[in-house]
Amino acid sequence: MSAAEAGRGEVWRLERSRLLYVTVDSSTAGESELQRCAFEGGRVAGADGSSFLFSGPPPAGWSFRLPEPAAGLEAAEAREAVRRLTGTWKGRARVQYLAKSSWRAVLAGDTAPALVESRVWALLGNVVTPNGRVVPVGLSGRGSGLAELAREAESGDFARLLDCVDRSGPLPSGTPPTVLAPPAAAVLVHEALGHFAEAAPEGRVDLSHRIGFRVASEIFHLVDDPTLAEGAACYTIDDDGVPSRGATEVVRDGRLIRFLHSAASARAMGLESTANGRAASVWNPPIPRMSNLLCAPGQASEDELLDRLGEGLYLHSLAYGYGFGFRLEAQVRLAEAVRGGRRTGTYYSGGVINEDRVVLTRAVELGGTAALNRNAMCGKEGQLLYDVGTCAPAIRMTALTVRP
Amino acid sequence: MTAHQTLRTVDRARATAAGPPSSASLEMVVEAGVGRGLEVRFGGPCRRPAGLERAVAASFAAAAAALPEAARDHLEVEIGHVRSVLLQDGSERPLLDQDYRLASCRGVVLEVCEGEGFRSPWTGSLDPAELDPALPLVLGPSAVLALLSYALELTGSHVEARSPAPMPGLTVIDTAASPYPPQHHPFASDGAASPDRPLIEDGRWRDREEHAGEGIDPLFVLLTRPDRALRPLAAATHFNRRNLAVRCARAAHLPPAAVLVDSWRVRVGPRSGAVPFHAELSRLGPGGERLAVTTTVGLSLDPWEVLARVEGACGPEAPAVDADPIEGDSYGSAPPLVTGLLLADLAAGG
Repeated sequence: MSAAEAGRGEVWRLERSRLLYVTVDSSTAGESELQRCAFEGGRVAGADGSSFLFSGPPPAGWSFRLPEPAAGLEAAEAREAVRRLTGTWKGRARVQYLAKSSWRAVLAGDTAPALVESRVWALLGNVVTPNGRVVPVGLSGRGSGLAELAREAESGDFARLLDCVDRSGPLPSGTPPTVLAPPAAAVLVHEALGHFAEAAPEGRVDLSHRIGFRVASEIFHLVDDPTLAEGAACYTIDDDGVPSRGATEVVRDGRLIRFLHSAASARAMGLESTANGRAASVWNPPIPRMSNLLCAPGQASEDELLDRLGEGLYLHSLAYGYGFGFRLEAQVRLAEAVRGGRRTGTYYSGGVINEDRVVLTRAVELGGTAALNRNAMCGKEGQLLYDVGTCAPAIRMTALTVRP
Repeated sequence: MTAHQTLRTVDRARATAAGPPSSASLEMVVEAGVGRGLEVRFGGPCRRPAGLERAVAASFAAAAAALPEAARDHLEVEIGHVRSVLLQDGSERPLLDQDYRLASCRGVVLEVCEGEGFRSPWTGSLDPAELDPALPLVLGPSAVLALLSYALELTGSHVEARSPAPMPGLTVIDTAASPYPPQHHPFASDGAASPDRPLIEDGRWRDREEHAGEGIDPLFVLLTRPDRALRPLAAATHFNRRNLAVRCARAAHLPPAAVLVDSWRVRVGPRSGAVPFHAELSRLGPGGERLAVTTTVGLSLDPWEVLARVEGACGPEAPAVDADPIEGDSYGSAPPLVTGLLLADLAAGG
């Protein structure tokens, strides 16, 4: 690779991927849809900001080509794992499994190409329960996901959630005191704090006024760490080709102290990249994205949080977290009434949380155990990543706005 | 079963006021008919479409000159070429081979395909403070398309949308045809015509069950949105339908003064009830006056209620675009519609 090949001032990003999709409908035993994709292509960013997308290998005559991606799973193996899992669920499941293995490289000037290999998976779709409730399915992360699918089938966690949703009632609107279980807390932390800490793509908006802003109560301390071995994301070089230097502290004592940057956003703000430039595919420009957002736990057990809550809501699970401007919302997949500091077995589903980004300023206590999210999918600017980790403890809040 | 392969190539260059030009040269082969699946392969010679890049820069400058100054920042021009070929048993059968030029501004499709230039629809600009909330509301083609797209999304999603009221005179067709050639592929995997599918006929749902998440046509989606090959189709919100064509059997007179919604974007995920839209508006006045409101205006509306208040079409169907922040631009066609609503009826609440 040389400057002559890349073109002066140009940055070439290349990708070679294999993708396998298996679509399973639990009501049609034995049949499933398959789709395989062999992708090779790239994106050329000019020094003037222009871009050129292409499919196929690099230009004829180049001395560089990415390696063939790993073969990955056999379709039959994936289909069997998905069928085994959906077989434990009551109701009709329609889900799609994705496995993607890829090589990417960033080439610029005379520097040696930075090659990165990755493997991600996802399972998404929905289940219609016997009583007609539609429950979104979302699991994703790094690797093939086979172990996670087997573990899920073994544990029966999602099957139990479906049972609870199936007998749930409509969520009453209001602003009840709430304890969020770690999976629900992860969604709120991700939307309210994580996205707030991402710099604007290409630095197109100056967000520097946010630094020092109180985004949560003083009990919150967060870092973003792309090198976390057990995290959904795990990389040493981001999609800009910038090496990671470890965790970036973003929230201290509830205040935003630093942004997560891609190369372009950092350049626009006169700072160094934090190696958070991530792209869904090589055709997308890298933009500032979380890698693994880690919220430091507190000390209380969940029972203690519920005991101190007294009356209110226990949020088991949220889906479809979504931020727009200073607002955010998420669909309540499953909630439970709390009376006298105890969970009651009275379940609710179907409403939404509708809040400001500073919703976590109403958090008063954190659980002592933080858990990594099992759905690491995150969409932003039309780019869907499957490996955005969030690790959060249970959170007790004085109030949370819920509406049908 | 015989395997059918469709070769699709797209070369395009796009110019906007917001940034430097972009271009693409994509080639893919989709093979169908092997078991119950599709095989997708991307290839191509990696040749930058320099000629298209030069042409679009010149075209952009000419198009910008035709617009009022306040609208120029929103102008986008694209020039390209699309080709589809059916490959079977060693033979090639051309399906589509088309040059095109697209110009759009503020979510309004100014021209597509003809390449003969356009007249600016706007005659000037207007400060939003000068909008009279008592003016009647007219929906431009792109606003109609976006509204129906969101309404259909509610019906086909996890949201339990309440039973919609009849939509007087409206017909909505799911079609593989599009005014925008890169999204046009009205063929099945064997090259036969891909039939249209009515979703709403004369204001009534044709078959709501049919739109609850099934009926995916992956061949169409992959050929017209190649980036979808790189993510699960079920991750797309609009995965269970193709392009939309909207018709209206009723005619209505354009009021002498009105607020025209040039385009709008919903700002939340699918949910029932009133939702916030960010709208590009114009004020229509006597003698063909159309003043572009200089900033985006926040509105709040229940899509079903707006559709139920449609009085009729005040013009022919025209190319339209639904600019979805997640799904990207989806092109279709729709007529401008006169409603029984006033701008004040959609004023954004808290």
